[in-house]
Amino acid sequence: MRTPPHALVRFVVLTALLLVVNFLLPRALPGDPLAALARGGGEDVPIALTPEARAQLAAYYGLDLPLSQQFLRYLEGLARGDLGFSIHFQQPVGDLVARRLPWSALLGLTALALAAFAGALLGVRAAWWHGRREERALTGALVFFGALPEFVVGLVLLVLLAVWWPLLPARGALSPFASCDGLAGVVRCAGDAASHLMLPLATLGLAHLPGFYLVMRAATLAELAQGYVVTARAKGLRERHVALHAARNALLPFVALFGARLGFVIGGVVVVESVFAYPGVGQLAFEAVLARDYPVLQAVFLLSGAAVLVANAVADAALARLDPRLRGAGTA
Amino acid sequence: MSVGLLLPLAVIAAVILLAVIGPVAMPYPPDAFVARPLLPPSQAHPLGTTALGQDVLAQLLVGARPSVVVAAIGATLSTALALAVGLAAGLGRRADALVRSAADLFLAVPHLPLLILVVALVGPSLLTIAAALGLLSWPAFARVVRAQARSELARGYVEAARAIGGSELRILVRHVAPALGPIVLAKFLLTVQYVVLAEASLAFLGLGDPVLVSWGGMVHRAMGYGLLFATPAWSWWLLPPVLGIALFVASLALLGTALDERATPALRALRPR
Repeated sequence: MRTPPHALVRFVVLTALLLVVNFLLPRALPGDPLAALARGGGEDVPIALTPEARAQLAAYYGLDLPLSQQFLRYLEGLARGDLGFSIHFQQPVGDLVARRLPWSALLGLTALALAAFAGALLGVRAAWWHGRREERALTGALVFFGALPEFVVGLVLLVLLAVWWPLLPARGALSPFASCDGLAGVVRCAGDAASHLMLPLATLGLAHLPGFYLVMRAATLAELAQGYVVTARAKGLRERHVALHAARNALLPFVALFGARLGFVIGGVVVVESVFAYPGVGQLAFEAVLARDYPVLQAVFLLSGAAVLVANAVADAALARLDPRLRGAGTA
Repeated sequence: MSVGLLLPLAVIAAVILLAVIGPVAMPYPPDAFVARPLLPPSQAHPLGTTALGQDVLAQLLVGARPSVVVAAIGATLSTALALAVGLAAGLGRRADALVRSAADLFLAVPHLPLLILVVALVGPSLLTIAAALGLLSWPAFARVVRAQARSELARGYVEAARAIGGSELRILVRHVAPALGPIVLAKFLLTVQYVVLAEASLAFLGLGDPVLVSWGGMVHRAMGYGLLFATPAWSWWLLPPVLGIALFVASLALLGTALDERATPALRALRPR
């Protein structure tokens, strides 16, 4: 498919905007990383900084330079693939993100995929059942679950399945001191990771499900009222084939919603990761906000912003494939 | 009126009542150290005590207030802005483009990270949180008002009012605004739900107003106690505020959704999260 030129221009402008906002936003927070460092961030012993030591540290991290020069250094580093050095964690940001991102991606993407799949199936079903008691009960239950804050759902699941009936682990992504050496170790670790994933996954999945369900149900209902459905039925098509026709057209808002949610995968795991102490990017971002750790904040915001941009582009392309009318219109 | 409406209404009324009279009805000051820590429920402390020896029931009774206050301020602000901007957009082309892009922008930004930043930026107080939530939630609301206003403006009676010389402003205020009543009420309730949910989530993350006792804040403190699940304390310390939030938010959502469906059959279930 030919990409309309102004879509590309928009993408470039948005990326540039993202880089600037990304750089300025953390620096707009009150306090600075050195003050947070001196407070000790909770674990370390608080240290009192003399003005000289402070100046030395600021020079070391390049925080004494004018903003414009800091920004140039940031861009320069990015061009080299260098995300900087974390002031709070005292290690390269690239390493931090590389260690945390897989957990968030595993959690966020699996939850999204499962919820979208289940939501689509249930939504089409519910449109077919429209007005029946089962459909009302399902919709009511899902509106109820969709309304609950994620941490409430998470805590209820945690209390039920990890504390009251200790079936699943309550926190973390792996058991402490688990060794993953050798084939047996890898298998054991995979099982361990899967059991740790269950509760956060269920929480996040339940948070995603109602949206997909409601959109798919409404879109299918709207399609079922269309003339072509009546025609298809009138000419004797089987209900299953009618359903396929309607479902394909009903997919449009569903795909749009999926794209929007896909972009939020990184931003959307903060609460769930906090409930289950899951060591992902959400936790990292939260700790970095508290510690005013500029390099880490920049990296995480860049990552989540880029995720939104990429997800939107992917969703637009998918929508254009699904609906020929959107092709080449470049509205997207 | 059906049970589906009465039940949520009763819960909401109870929580508002609690927010008004809770501080008077409570047996102890909520943040005073009144007994030994982690006492199980007893006659003197019906819901036991926290790890600091504070009375859980007292905290639960007082804790409804921040939710209700933030919800009232935030949702009112959001509604006022949405009505003003939505009606303006119903009239003029330029305002229309503005509303649409603002709504798109606010819908495309993940709210929670933004809120965390805003709260870290301006400091966590009840008012700033309410204001931030109000400012964040009006665009989606304005879009609905705009759509409804447009459809109203296209009706025959508006034409008739124009024909007899009614000014645009008068038509807007006298005819269009009242016609928006049901949908505004429904959207108001859904906004309240959004605000309550966001306030509780922030407080849960430890970003609530630090001087107030709120349900979300109670959950935050309970979760911050390292040995919470090693003792049975979670059952009287953690569960009550969690269930309180769940009941309140779910009631708002059920009532709001029911009213929304009544007000706009066409919008049924198309509500954005």
